[in-house]
Amino acid sequence: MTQKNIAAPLPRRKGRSRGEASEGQLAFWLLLPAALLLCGVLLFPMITTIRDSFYFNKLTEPFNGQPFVGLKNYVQMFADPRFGTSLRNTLFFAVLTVGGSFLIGIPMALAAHTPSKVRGLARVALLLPWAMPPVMTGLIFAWLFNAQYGVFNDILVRLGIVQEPLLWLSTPGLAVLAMVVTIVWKTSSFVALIVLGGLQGIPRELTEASEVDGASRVQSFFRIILPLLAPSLAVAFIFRSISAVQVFDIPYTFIQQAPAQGLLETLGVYIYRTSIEFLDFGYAATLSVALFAVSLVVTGVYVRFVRDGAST
Amino acid sequence: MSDETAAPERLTLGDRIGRWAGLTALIVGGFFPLIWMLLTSLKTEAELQKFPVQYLPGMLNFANYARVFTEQPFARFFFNSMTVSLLSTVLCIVVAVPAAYALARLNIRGRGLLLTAVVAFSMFPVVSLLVPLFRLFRGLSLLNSYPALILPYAALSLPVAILTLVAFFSAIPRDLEAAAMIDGTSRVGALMRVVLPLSAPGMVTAALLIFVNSWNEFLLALSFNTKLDMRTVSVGVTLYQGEFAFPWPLIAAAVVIATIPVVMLIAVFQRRFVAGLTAGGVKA
Amino acid sequence: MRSRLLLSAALAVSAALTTSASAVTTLNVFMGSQQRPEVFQPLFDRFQAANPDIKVKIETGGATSEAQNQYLTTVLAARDDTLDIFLIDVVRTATFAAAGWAEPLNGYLSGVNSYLGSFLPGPVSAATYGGKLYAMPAFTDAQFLYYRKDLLTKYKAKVPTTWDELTATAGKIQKGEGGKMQGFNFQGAPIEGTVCNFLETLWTGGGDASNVNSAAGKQGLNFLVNSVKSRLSPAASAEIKTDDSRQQFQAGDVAMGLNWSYAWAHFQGNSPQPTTVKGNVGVAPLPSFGKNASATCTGGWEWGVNAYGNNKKEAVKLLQFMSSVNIQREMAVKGAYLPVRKSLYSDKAVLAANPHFKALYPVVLKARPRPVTPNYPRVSEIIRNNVSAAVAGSKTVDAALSDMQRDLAPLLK
Repeated sequence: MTQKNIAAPLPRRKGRSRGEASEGQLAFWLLLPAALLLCGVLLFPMITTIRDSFYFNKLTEPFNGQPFVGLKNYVQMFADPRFGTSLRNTLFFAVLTVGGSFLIGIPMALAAHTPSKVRGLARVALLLPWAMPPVMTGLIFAWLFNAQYGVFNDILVRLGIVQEPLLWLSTPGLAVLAMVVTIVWKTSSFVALIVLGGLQGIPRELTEASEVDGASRVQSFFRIILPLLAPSLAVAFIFRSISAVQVFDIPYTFIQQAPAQGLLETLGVYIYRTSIEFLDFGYAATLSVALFAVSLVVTGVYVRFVRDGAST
Repeated sequence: MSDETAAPERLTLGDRIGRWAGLTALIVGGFFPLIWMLLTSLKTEAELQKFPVQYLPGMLNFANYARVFTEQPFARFFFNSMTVSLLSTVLCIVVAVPAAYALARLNIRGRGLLLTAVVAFSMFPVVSLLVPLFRLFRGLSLLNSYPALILPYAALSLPVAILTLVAFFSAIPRDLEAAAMIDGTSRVGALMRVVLPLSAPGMVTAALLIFVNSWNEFLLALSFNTKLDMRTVSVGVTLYQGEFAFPWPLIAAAVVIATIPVVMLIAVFQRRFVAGLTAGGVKA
Repeated sequence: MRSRLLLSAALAVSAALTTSASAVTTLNVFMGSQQRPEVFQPLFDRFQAANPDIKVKIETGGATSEAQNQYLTTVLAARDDTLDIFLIDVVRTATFAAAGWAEPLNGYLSGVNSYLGSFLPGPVSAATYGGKLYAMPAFTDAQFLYYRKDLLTKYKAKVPTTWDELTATAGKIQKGEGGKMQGFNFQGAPIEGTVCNFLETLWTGGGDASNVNSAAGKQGLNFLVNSVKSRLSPAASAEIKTDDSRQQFQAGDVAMGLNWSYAWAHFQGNSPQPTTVKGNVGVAPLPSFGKNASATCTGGWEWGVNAYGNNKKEAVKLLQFMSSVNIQREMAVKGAYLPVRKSLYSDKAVLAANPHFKALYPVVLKARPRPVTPNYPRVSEIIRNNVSAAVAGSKTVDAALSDMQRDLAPLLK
């Protein structure tokens, strides 16, 4: 926001008199369609949600009306142990799955980027997890982890690692692990895609030049490639974090398979339950605003980073 | 980009092993659940209830693939999803490119704030936007139409598209653009002829993100387009369950049909598009 | 002034025109795709033939109870008038009633008490909230004790009438058969079937959902948990869902199990999986503890009328048609739906198509609704998570019951 962050202006064509004003004007027109689309579709629902968070609006108690209650919903939220638990679970899963998706996603992108006979196949493999219908992903993995017919148990038993099939979903710790694996599998693709795009934007001459200089591949990755990937990584991080904080469909599926709700319920699931199932739209709106705030905090640091990166 | 034609590299044995291990892990890991679905779709339901697990189907039985299309109008679902996803991708890209260019390149006051605002639009859980959006679209008589999904999908993907493009536009050396502008090209001309071709991988990445986001969306699709012939694939794959029964072979066939063609299409498109755009552009 | 008069005159005329033009009313009926719309369509066609001024259109939602609920919640929270009738799970009555989404039907049915007198009591009380009828029972369901007739004969045992007998008999069979044979199979995953299994062990011990942390609650939950501990039930019971139970019984791996009515047709061969138990399956009322009466959960679905709809009178007319003797008989004969009318369980045509309905009758007659409260979604969640955790062994029976009691108390007072 400060002046030093703002890009050095490009040299302008003739007619300097149009100067700053014309650049501002151009920016206005370039930004207008995006602003219209975002505001036209999303602003009204977002404002409605924020407004609802200050009202009592519980559809199962219509006799109570929909009075303005000020901060009462927020007070209720901070006293609500289930909010605390689901927030803690959300952050716990966010740290593990965002970290996991970068640990897996970056090597995935590197593998898919290196020239080889199977590169086409590798790129398809990179896309598949992400393109699989999300409503089905949780169910497919729950089945793979199934105690009675699951593939994972079958492999473990065949390899002699365990004697009896593990009760993946009904042992709380294992259920958490199973869910992390599922989410990481699904979301590493997203990171890999963005990183792969970034890698494709780096001229090969740069990496080759460093190798000629005698740098090892590892050194050239950390010295040359990683800094060039920084903007892509930041974008991937921001949106992985936001979606990790909102994560809903996979936990929602797992909760119906595994008796460990206290460990698996995320804020996204709690919001869904509160609105769609408990019909408490006022409180659900409050929880949504909280989730919004959490996203803002988690990503705030990185938005700053991208902004600075973009202007250098 | 240029790597497509790169000369063979000098690799040590360790490099080779590492590379093949990485590729194998990627391919096995990425394909594994889908291969499992493929095998499942060819099995009978009795073959699923076995432990130790029976991995290969007793006989190749493609009947489930026919049933996917006869029990529900799945071809129609596919057409709907294609239409919605393609149009929301086009709309989103057309809107995102100028915005991203402005944010990456122009002298804008409060750009950090603008970027934060853009990202903030993706921070509300969709479920909390559901009922107000439903009201809005009902008011506009948009329910059971393509725009009912295209508009929110394009809007929901706009933040990630803009930020991806900003990252790519920023990475293009300013000198190139400046050179073109000194040559007498207009700013918009420089964008079209220099910036866009150079950021082709970024455009493709953004398009992919939007397309798959739209292809996968469930909550809005379930609630806004309720007529059977307006359903999309993501809702369609769930329509084969019974009240209690979950016919995996049939559902697996639907999952395979919902996933494989799309991924193939994307892979082909990605190669063609990147190659096409870079061929016409300036080499970095 | 004059123009305003003219305007209102024009409006009146146009209103008159629209009413005469729309003499045909269209009823939009919502049901899940798993409810076999193809069975209902011909019935609606007959209704249309008899009522030429009413058209019926089916709108299908997602295939699961949750997906439908999600859609209906969105539509009704926005006070939408597009739908006229919705087919809902019996557990949703009170929620829909309290939210003002379902129209009370008392005002539309003359002599409502005598009209409902020929219905089964379970589905009617499940559809009743605050003394008013908020939905018309469409078809009913209940959980039954399925057992293997051939195995009982082989081990010279009788159908158990108490849970202790069940443990003894099932244990004997399991020991004798060996291998994968399960003595007793129930649902323990965090799903609705598990709520029912627990309530049934509670009710058949004389307990009630308003007081789960009681002797009856302990006895009931201990029975389920001990069945797993003693390996009478599978170690993975906390992951078993309704259809897993059905498939395992059908594969011949279960001596006795609890399930809904749909399992019967599968056992007799009308199923995507082969059956090894055809002709060898018996159905009985659930056992009880000591001298307590048998009990089971009422399931099934019911027709609600959208309170925001514009065609409520016509909608109720359709509902009365759907619950008439003839249509209920046809649904039973052609779709094996359990009728909501008592007389049909001794009806020749119904029994010819479904001989086992005779054995089901005493069970459905005693079926009880799950707690009828607008907070049922919360109630269900509390029960299923605690019961499932206890069955998994990750929570003790005492902790599960006291947690349940603590969370249920404010909801069920």
